[in-house]
Amino acid sequence: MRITAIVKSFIKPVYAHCDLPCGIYDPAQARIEAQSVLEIMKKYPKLDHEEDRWRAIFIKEQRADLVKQHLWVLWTDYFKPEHLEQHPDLHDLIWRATKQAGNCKKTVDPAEGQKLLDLIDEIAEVFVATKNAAKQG
Amino acid sequence: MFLLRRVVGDSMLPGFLPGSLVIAVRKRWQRPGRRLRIGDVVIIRHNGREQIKRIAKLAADDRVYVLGDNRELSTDSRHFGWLKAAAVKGRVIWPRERKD
Repeated sequence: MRITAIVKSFIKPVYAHCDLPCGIYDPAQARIEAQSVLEIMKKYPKLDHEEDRWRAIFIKEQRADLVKQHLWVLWTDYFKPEHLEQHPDLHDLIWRATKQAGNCKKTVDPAEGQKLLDLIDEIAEVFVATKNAAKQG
Repeated sequence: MFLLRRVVGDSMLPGFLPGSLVIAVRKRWQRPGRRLRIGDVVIIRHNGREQIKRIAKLAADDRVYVLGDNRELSTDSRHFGWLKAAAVKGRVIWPRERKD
């Protein structure tokens, strides 16, 4: 360790800090899980064995739940009041998307899975807009 | 009279790099008449630890609204709200900021 580093380590810290995790937010996480949900819905009718169908439903349930988790993290941790001012429909959008994730648990209709993906894409558009605004700001 | 501190974290980038040193003048040692202004970089005490932020708004009732320069990576008044001016311990005087 260099002398300067040793000296510095004795100096009291002042935090230019954020709560963990540091800015690692991306709607892509929710989207990947939603894609799994959709793919399972598409494959479901082609599965021959009861065990496979059983597993498909089980995994779809889990993935739909992960979609909710990822969207809630974006909602409560990433999005801030200033974003809501610029995108007043954000609460409603996330509410509809997480409700749609719930709907996808109840069905194997791929149209419902596609609706979920479309809603996540709408959230992603808002997300990108807030990122761009932050860069310009 | 002065506070010497080492910056930890990214919330004041690009102006204040993690690991860099800052010197602040304690509030009671400000020169007479030098009140806090919008744009001042300050050391505040909040939630039991000292933090470096920039004053974004000042209220008439002696409260301050602080933000990190690196908005995306900062936890600040957007989360914890307005602070009493008493939370401000000192104003950063070095390094001096370039006025573009």
